[in-house]
Amino acid sequence: MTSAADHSLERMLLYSLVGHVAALFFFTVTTYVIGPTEVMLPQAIRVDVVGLPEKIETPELHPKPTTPEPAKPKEKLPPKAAAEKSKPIAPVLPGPKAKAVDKKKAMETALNEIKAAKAMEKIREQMDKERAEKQAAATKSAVVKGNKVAEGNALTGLESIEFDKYLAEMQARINANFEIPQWLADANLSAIVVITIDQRGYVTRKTMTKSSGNNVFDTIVMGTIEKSSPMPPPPDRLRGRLATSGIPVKFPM
Amino acid sequence: MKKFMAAFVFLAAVSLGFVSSAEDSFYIAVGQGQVKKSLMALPPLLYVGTQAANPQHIKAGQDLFRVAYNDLSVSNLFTFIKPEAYLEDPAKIGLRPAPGTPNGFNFENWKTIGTEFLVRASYQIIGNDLSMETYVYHVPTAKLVVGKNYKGPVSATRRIAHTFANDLIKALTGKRGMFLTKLVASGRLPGGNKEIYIMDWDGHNPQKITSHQSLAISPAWSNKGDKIAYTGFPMHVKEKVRNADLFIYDIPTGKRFLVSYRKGMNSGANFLPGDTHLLLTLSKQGNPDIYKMTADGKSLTQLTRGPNYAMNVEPVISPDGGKIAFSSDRAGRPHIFLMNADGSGVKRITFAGKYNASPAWSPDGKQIAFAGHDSDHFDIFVMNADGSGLKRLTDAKKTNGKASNNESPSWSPDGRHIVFASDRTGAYQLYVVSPDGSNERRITEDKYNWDKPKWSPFLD
Repeated sequence: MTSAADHSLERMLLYSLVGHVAALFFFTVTTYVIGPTEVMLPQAIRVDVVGLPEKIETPELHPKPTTPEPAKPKEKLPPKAAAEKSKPIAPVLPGPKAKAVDKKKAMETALNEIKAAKAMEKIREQMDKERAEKQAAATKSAVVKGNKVAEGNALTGLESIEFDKYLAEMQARINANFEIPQWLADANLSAIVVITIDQRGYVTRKTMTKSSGNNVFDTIVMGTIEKSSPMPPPPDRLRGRLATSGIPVKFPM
Repeated sequence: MKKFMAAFVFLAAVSLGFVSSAEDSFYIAVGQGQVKKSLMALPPLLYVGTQAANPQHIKAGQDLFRVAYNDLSVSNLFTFIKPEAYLEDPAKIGLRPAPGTPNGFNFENWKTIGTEFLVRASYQIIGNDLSMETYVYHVPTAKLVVGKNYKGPVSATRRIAHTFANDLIKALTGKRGMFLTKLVASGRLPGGNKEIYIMDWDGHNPQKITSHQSLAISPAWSNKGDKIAYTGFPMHVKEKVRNADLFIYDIPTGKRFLVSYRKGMNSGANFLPGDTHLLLTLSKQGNPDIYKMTADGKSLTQLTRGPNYAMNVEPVISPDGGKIAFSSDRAGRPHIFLMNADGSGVKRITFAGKYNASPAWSPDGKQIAFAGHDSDHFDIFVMNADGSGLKRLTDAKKTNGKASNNESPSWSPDGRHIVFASDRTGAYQLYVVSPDGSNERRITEDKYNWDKPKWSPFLD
């Protein structure tokens, strides 16, 4: 009986040993030969919540919209001039009101004195907050409101966001300095200049990689780059790239 | 080993491809910049021949200057520097720059006052022959843009000046200038008959091409610019009535042909590309409808049928020949409609205003100009060919403060101008305006009342 039990135990141990060896072999093979199982993670798509539109405030001071008659272009004032024109001129304040302003100023001065001690701390807090917001921008954007679809963000990282923002700033700056005569505007010319930028935003090198074939246009293009320097200082992540390989600037495409 | 190398090369190529495609998306597109007019110095021409005091010689010089100045001014490319600002007296310096030419002009003197283009020109008259020598310099680069000599009879003075302006525009923009094109319009002197006239684009040299001594209206150019189709009102002897018949006037031969004299209206002709067919409005069945007709007037295809006794008039073919714009009151009030060239797919494209008429395609086929009536007068409007982007181009008042009528738009072949008729001075005179509503100017100053002006295709 005992020997039968011993045999049974031996058999069980043998099975166990074989089982463990088999398991060990299996895991060894799967780990070192087949390799780890690839987990397919599809690219994340963020769907931003579209909120209801805000109530549109129509202050009485604003001019009421006129009849939807198409406006004559030549009557259109440039945006700046229009804004200046519509800006009401502040009337001179009479005496009593001026006193009230003085009181207010005095109170503000007192408050400022109290706040003075905490100023540095606040600035530090503010900086931390901005940094946190910047990081959060990669994963969370402002809720879009209104009867429209949010653009959403492709989650390609902080770098892409910084790229887009910085490139838009550069584009605006160069465009503001790009002035061409009408006769060239009608000639449908284009040119490409590759520029490198140092960490302060100064253009360190400009190379025309595609000429328009028109000397005047090419001169204007190079002059536009010169006038646009310094550009806004590039963000940390872009400094290396912009300082070494540079970026192509296409006029006007 | 070879296989390994091949695989390595392949992988390297693929990865480089990815890098370059990634690089392609990393760039700045500056976009359209601010556009400005160029400062031009255009001094009067120097006379270099004999008999400088001869009034005919002086007048020819003045004409050359005025015509070139007007052409370049309407081009909207230049702002002219006032002669008071010149640092050199153009009458005392040569046509070519110094050094190199004795008494040549100095580029620095023109650069200082911001000149972008300097025009130096001289002329002389020997017998009946006028010759003009011209040089246009791009001052910032000190380079010659155009240098040409022109020669012709004194009677061709205006043509020589227009040719110079065309050459300059072509040299600068690479596109043809329109200064040798012409206008055709129906004109009437007070108390007179309405006849068809052909004139230069700037309103000069009006030439009467009809003598029906009644009414001649609605002229239209052929695409080659060698024929004018128009409607006259000759007497039909048998019926003893005047009928609105369609004629074609052949410009080179001066002959006219009666093409369509079907009972009722035979009007509003528009040549199709190739000039073998025309579109026109016929009312032979009582209702004005649009037909396609062979240029000999024999074969007809009806394109519109009502509906419900609606009027379908003023057909104009798009430059590519694919669409027809026309006006119709099928929706109650006259509006602009589009249809395919075979009459199918009718689509309304104007919805604003009380009365929209006279559609005219831009030469690139992207826009349509028309005359729109919204309150108490007509104005010229432009819209995209799908009806979007509606813009008003005119809003001039009469001297009594009332709104004027601005009607019958027609595009210049370069698409940079629109001619129209306006009664802002009392009589209907011809004006041009840029398609953005700027640069409006009067081009006829006479006693005629002009109607339905049509701009020719390029004729040179």
